Amino acid sequence: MSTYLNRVAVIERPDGGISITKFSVDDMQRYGYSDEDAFIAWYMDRINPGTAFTVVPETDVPTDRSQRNQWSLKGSKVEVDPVKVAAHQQKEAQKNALLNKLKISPEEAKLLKEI
Amino acid sequence: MVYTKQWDETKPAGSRALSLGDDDIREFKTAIRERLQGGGMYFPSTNDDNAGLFNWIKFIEQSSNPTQEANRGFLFTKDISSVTELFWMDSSGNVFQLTTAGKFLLTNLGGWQARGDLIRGSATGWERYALGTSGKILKSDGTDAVWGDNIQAATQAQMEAASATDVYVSPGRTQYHPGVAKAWIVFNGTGSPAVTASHNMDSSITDHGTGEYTVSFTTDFSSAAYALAGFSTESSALSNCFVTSTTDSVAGTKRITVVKHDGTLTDGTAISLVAYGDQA
Repeated sequence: MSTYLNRVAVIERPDGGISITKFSVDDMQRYGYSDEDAFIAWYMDRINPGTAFTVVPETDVPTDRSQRNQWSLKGSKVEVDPVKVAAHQQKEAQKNALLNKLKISPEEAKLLKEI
Repeated sequence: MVYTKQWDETKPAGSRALSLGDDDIREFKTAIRERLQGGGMYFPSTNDDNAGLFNWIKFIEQSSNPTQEANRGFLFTKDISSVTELFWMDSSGNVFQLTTAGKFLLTNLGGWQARGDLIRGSATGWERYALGTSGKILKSDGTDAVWGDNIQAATQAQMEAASATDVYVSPGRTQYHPGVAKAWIVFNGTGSPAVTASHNMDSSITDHGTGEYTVSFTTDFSSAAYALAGFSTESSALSNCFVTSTTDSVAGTKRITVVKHDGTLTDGTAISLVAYGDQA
């Protein structure tokens, strides 16, 4: 089991989502780095060349992933974004209204997806 | 050995009575037998078929080598460091010491030539076998022990060609064979994603959202043309999930998604990936 640095890098994607990269201590040693900042900069350029990122403490990332797709970077913290939550809820409401109109329960909708 | 009869070549004296001649003859016989026995000859006082054979041969230490003679050889002893050692001198006058301090002197067996020489049995007897060139190994050709080429580790090119049958696969190059997985990983995508075990994959991992991750190869593939197989479990009762991707592969990383049976993305509890292809 790997151990990780206590900071992560956050990229704000054009689609509105955020990508969070965790850095392994093993990788830092494997690639010959002793300085965390230098390693993070090198690694981010390796996997996302030329993409801007923000380093934040891992403690500033929510541990509850139930609303993972509604997270945003606010300053130096990753938080559940009320705007994204509202947009998501609105989409769900639209979906449920449509299902209701079609007289299809959520369970039946799931079954339809599987079929 | 203590002799019972003295060796006296003045006896019998010319004035000795003839009637005592029988005593002199018996004494003479005994004196001869005792001396031959002292030299190692089997010589009983009564008739015996083995009379004249030797029990052993006792040598007197020589202070120098014998004088060479044509068509003759000499087995003799000399003192070497206060030990009586056995020597042989052939008809050409070559002298070989055969023993040393209680052992055979092997340096003279076949003739000492050079450091690293071996003694090898040939069709006609023991012979000197000179040290082979560096890196050679001693092996059998079915008849003789001979120096031969060591079995070589397959090169990267040989591993990639996957056709050679006269080289061995070494641990450090196994991964170059096209039939061998180049990388694999198992990680937990729930909570804060973390790698459980892996080979040739970074433990650093990127979380893009629910059920979406990017993993990185430690040694990149030579191109995006590699095969990836994946499997995942998740915490719900219907636990088997598909691992798929919505982006093109790149040589150094792979973005994947974990999809439940109903088509929604989910955080896998144990996401495993295996990759095959040609490495850079």
